Amino acid sequence: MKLFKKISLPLLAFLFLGQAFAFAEELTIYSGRSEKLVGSVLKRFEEVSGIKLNVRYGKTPELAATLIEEGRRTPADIFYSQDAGALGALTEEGLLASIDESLLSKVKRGFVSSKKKWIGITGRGRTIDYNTDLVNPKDLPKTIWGLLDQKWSGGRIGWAPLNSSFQSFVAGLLVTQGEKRTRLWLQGIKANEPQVYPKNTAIVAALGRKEISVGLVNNYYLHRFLSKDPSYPVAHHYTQGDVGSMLNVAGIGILKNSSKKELAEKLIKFLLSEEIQKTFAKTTFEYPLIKGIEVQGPQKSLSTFSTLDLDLNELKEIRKAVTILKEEGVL
Amino acid sequence: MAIFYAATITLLMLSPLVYMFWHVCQIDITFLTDILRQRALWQALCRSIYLVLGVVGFSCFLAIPSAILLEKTNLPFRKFWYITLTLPLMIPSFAGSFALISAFAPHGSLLANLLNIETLPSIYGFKGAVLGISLFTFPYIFLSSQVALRSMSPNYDEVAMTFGLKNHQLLFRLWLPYLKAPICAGSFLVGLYALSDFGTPTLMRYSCLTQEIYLAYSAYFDRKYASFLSLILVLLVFIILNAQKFYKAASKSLENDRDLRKKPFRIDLGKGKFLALLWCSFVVTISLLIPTGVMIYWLSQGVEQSALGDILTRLSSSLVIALVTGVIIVLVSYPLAYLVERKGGLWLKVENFVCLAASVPGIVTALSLVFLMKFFPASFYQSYAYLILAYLILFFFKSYTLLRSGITKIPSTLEDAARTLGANTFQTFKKIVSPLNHSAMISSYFLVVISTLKELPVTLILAPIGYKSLSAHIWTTTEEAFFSETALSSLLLLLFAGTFLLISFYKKNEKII
Repeated sequence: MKLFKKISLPLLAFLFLGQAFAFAEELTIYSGRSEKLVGSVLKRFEEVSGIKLNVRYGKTPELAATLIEEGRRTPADIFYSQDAGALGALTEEGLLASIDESLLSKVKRGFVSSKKKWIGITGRGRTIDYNTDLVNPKDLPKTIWGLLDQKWSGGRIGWAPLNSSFQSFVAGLLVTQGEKRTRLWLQGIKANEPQVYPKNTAIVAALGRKEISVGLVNNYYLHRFLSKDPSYPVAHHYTQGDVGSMLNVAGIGILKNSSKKELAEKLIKFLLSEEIQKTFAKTTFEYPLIKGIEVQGPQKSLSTFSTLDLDLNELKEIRKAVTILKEEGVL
Repeated sequence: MAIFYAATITLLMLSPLVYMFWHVCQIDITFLTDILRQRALWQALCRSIYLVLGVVGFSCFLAIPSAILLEKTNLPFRKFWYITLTLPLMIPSFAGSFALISAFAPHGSLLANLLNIETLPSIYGFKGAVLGISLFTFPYIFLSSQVALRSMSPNYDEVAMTFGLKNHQLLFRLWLPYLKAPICAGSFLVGLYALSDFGTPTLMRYSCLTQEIYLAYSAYFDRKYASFLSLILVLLVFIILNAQKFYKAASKSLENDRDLRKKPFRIDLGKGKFLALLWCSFVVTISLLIPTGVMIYWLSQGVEQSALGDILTRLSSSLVIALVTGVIIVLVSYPLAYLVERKGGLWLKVENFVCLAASVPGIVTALSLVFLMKFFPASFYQSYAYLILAYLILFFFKSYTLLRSGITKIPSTLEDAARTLGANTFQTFKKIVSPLNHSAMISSYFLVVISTLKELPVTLILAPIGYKSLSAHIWTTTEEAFFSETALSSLLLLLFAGTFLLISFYKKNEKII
């Protein structure tokens, strides 16, 4: 009985206490980016700053929905999002605090919120991956319009319309070329009977099996396959001057309700430091967004990305893109 | 006491439904009519219905013959088949489908390379989705049928034999009618799974209603729209539920008086033994050997030392939570199973809510509990207790269904006799119901534990920060293409489940035979 009394209190505390009693030097993060990608960098921050991070890893859209549902009672201080759309949704709900100008100015134009409510940390490049046994690099299209050619018909193209990076890409197409051209492009690809995959990894896996010849994907998945198998027969191809090789942003917003804005800004400053931006480029193959740093490895360098004047900050564009995808029967 | 129990369960199970209604009520009428006019939505709904029918049909095809062979014939290696036919349940269907595609995709898959063929027939589309879900859920039907057959009185078979029924007549005139209720119960679980699964259908390129719900959250960030779509899903389950009840009421169920000292009735397969073994090997090969084979192939590409440590910590912490959750859910659902079976009336109404709560997509249940946080002290939110509460809403129905199908087979006359001898309800339960329902209880505990281990959306949102679950690991490694790690955690899950089944099988044998 004595023993029972001794353990019952800690046991109850263990069962019934969430993280409501976070200490002063702690930050709570909802991260839509997986631990595999950002875990080591966040750990580095803890070591350097002495600030403890409580990180909830999850899926970006679902964490955004959770934050909206929690409203002002959220335990989170920071939301680290895989894409701009979710940050746009939180901005729309009025849940994000403004970010300091000194931080915003570090990042290249086009990768921060026009309302100053969130800030880009890394860029995730879009690319066309192709199977090197099936396709001669000379035959690859210069622009995404080249994919409408007859030679890509009969299920040679792979795409992932459910994936939010792809939806951002369509939104980019909408902004740069207008609705009519966007629909034309989608209809053209559809006429070539593309194969549909749920996500980028599935496309890269299918490319390796020669199920398809080319795939519209994000750039960093291939590197994971290559690190397991250096002879994996897939390579990147970048189109020129269009959204086929645009950058999607992964970024951070600070919750309005948070009382730890200073600590949050410390973290953002750390993530935008030269050292960490280089680490990202080396380990996750993402593009640094601060001025003056280049990407590592066998990738197209950021400076050769055509600077498209995209303002993807507006969730509106992504919603419109998805509606068009539905109307064209792609989704 | 009973009223308090009924009220608590009802309230708990109603919370996701109320949450959905609350959001749906805020949709304005013009938007609603716009939604309802979309042809794509209705097509998605129809495809969801086809998928459910296909999956239930194919799962029955795999499960029922296997269960009958196992319990009603002298099939060799019964323990082995029992375990291997249950284990596919343990493979997360998303990872399993990914493995199926690696094995059977039209180009460059393991099979295509093996046969040295350029192009195999496509696995994608309706048949792929049916395959991908059925192969990893048919054990629900297998288990519920097997449990029922195991507790079936051999007297029936003997009477039938003395009337000169042949073996195949036994099948159609005795066993299958006897199995109606457990097949219904198992099929319902399988159907629920098919209806609410998102991963496998998208991987197999078969778009259905869950995809629309996913888009409502991920592209539109519109909770009202998502709630509305989920409500359609729940409505569909409501219709199926009542159709099933109607069907059950129309069929008369056999009462059981299994004499525990009697040996179970088994047909001698004779020369058919070979065919029976062939069938079981076929089912185990496609549902267990091929997926695990592919995973072992992934694993052979190597896992880093640090990843191994991470996986082991996750396995142990997930196991602790799952084992505790299992005990709680079985204990809490047991009274309802008993009361519905013996008292009916009001309790049948409670059952309705339990079932509807189980049909709500996981993400909606999670968000409804996020919504409810306003009514609790802040520290309770995202605690282990809160997480287990969410699991209770999700898995109550599973545990309840199996427990109830076990209780159905216990003759109520036994309990009446105990009561005339002066035993109170609790004593009757302890001395009569609980021992006779032992195998159903173990199956239901097993189901809850593995469902908890595999659960993803609720775990991601409601677990305390710092709780590292195995399911999150399996999800994130498939997402980011670290397949060898996916393989390792999935195989460890299988190993655990296999051990669990082996132990429980020995226990069961002691009790019944």
